[in-house]
Amino acid sequence: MKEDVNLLNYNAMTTGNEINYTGSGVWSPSQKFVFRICFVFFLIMIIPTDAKYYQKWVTTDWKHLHIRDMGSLSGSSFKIIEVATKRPGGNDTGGAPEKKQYDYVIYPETGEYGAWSYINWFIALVLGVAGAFIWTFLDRKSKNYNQLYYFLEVLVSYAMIVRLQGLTFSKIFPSQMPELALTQLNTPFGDFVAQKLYWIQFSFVHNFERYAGYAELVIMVTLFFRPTRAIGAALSIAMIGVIALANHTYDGGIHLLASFYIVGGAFVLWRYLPPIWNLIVHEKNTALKIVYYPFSRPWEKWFRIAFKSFIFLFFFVVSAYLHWDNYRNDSYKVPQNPGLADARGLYTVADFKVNDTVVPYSPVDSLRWQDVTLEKWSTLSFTVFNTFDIHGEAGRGKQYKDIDRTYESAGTGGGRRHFYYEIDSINKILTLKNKNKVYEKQVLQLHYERPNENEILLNGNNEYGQPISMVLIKRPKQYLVYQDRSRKNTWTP
Amino acid sequence: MKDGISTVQQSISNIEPAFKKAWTGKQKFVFRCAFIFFTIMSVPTDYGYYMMLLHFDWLNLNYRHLTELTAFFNPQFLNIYSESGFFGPASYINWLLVLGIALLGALFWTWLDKKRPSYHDLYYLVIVFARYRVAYAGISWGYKKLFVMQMPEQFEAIWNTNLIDFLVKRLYWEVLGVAPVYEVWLGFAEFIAGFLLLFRRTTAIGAALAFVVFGNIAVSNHAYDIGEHVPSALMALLALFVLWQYLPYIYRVLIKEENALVPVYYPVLNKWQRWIRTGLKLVFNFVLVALFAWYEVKAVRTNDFYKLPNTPGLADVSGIYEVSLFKRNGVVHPYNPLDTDRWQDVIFEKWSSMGVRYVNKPQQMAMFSAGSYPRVGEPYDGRLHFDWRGDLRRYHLEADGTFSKESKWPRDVKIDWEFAGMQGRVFYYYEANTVNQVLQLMNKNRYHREEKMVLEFRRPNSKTIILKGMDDRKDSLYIVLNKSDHQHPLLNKK
Repeated sequence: MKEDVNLLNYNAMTTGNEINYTGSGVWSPSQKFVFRICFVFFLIMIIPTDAKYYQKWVTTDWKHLHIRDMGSLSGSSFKIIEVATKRPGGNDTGGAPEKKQYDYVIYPETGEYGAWSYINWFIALVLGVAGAFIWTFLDRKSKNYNQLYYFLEVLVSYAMIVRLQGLTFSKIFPSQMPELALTQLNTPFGDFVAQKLYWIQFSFVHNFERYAGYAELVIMVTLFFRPTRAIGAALSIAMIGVIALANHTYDGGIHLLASFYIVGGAFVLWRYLPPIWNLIVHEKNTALKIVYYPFSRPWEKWFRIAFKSFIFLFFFVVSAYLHWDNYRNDSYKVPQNPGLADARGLYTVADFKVNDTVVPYSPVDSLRWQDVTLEKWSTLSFTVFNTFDIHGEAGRGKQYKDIDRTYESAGTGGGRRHFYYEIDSINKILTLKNKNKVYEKQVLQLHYERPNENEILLNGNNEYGQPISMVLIKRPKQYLVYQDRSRKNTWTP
Repeated sequence: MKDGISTVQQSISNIEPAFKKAWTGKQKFVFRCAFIFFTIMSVPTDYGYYMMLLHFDWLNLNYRHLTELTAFFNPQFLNIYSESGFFGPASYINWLLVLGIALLGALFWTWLDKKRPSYHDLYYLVIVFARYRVAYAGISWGYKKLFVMQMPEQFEAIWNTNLIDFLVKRLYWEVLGVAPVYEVWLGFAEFIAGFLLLFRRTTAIGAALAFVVFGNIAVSNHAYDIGEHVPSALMALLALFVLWQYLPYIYRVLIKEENALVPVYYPVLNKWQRWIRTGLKLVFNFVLVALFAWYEVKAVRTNDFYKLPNTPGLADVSGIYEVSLFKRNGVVHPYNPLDTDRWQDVIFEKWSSMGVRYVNKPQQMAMFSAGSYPRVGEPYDGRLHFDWRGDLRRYHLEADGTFSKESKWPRDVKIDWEFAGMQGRVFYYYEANTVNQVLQLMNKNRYHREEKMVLEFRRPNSKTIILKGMDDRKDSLYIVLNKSDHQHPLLNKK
């Protein structure tokens, strides 16, 4: 008889959907305890504890909404302790300055990307365990947490959606990894840090960046709807989990953000795993048996629809529009002020003088400039044979000013220097400022003349105050990276 | 109470007869098509593949042979020598061809065989073909990355070449090569997808993984013009075919939230059929999984990475050198980045390779990944070419159909990884006579191997090398090289 009842229940639950929404099951004490830990842990990880976050919803300039605002409105990660480095320039990771106030800062010896960077997760877990103990002590009656489980799963899924939208749409409209600058193209492979190389692999083939963006959009959409949530969770582990791993191996900076998709994805996927295993490995008759909250009362129904619509409109539609607009008009990592007209190119340096003395061509001179590049925008870069601190910034963050938009220069070493410049076209003077924050005090003033379209004469002072002058001669260069596929494959060095 | 039991029984009995029911005419036709299509796609059908097998040195088998056995074959009887034929939609022309053959075959088959009610056994068999095809491909591509062969350790030529001098596919390669841990992880994903496909119970998981992994590889191949998109997409397609029978049920459980049972059919085999099955499984799995792994380990232990030369170079010379003094026929050429008579810089690798950066010395571009560019002497006429040997490049066949003589060159001369998909330097393989202090150099590029130099070398100190001798222009050279102190940030691990 007992067996029959079980069978009946089983059938009712699998065919009749949400009849029994509180769930008749009794969870074991350990199941309940683990759930309590997860509940507190994820709440701490997801719900912004910073009052500034909530103020943002009021203070944002809604008429001129910008992708910067989307970033701050999509939550803040739980961070009590800032993990930093003492390497000069290493902490300059971009981002809005008001986000950068922390009570505690640590400088682990393993670097800011090692195990120590998970310290805040660990704290959240400890709080989760402590919370679970208190909860266990207070709540001795509950047989199960089917409803809370459902809501927590929704919360984790939506947190993943909201945190992903910026990265998704800045890939679909390729601005997260914008077009490479000439200076980057003319820098040897070994002179980039590993992290930078990982980023710029998307910069030279935007279709791959778009593809990654669409994959992330699939994750967002599948997480958004209940029936496809398991697929979204599995994909987020498979894809963003791999990104997390890549960030660790390449010393990338967004490993924490990416790792959240492993933990969150695993949490959401967890309850689907046994049935799927049963179905495809054991090849047995299977049903999910998930208990949902019924949303049967009218206000619940309306609230659910309103909430879902809001998430969809704001974090899918508005976000997509803003990112498209940004990509079209002011790609946020690319400087926007135009450089010297028709000067974009790679230049050979001739007749270089310091203190009016000619310094002959030499690849191993610490003062003589080599391989000057001028971009479409106002950046001038050159190489000298010397060692400088690399600014640790990945060129991340959504900067306002051109001088702070450092995707073109961050993570590049090998004696390559990058200067932002302002043009005084009346007096024909360029005022150059070093884009590297470690050297931000270095300002150069160079008078320029353009006797013909292939030559630029510069004279003024270098970063050490010495008078310099030089002739820049444009060098024609075959860009293999962008070479037409059907070209004959001979090259001329 | 009785009702409860009967519903359950009903739901089970609904599933059972699926095997007994006769297929509809349409189902049978589709199946016949699919059977022929996926069999041709899974089993080597191009004659060139077998020509390659004939040329294998079977007594000295190594991991290269096993890679070629499993990683690189797909029907490619038609080639369109055009941009789209190499990179775009036209490169999939052979899929259409095979589909056409399958349609014709199915018509013929339908005419011949009017009685069979269903083809459960053959369906199982064609899935086995596809399963093992993808499994061994996944394992062999996985091994390439697991043993850090596909993107091997980097070296001076890569670190000292500007980004613009790489083809995008080589850049993609080297970005992966920067992080061997990541490469091993990707290799593991390929390996495990293939490995799971070897077992019946884990077939669905393996197929799903293989679909994601190979699908992703196909997309990146398209994005970076790598050239292996057709075989990768084929693996994804085969994986999808294997997964097909599970999909409706996964959909029912996950999305419709109904209960479901996958009605997988297993053929009943008699005794000798079981013996054959076990025998085949043992032989193939032993050779293509176990022995293959052993060969890979052996290769790593003997420093036989197929992309890296392994003849040791001069001791302690590796690095990039500035040319501080350059005399051609006794005339000093001062440093000038535009001087065609002067060498700009010189690279010595750990192995016996020397790279020279010239100004204006045109060279044929060396390529990697077989199918991606026409070879020298091959037409690029946009026309359709038929060849029943399949993709000649994969099987070491020359354009005129003869077997490549390239393999007769010494191992390290053949390896062009220092400059494949890159431009900027000319690389020379050298044989060093350390007693007389003479280097015999030969341009490694297979189209310029007649360019030879003989240079005496002296090393007054560990930072300086003096070269003296005759170059391929028959000029006498006198060169003083100074090792550069340049520190690459990429190598400067905290």
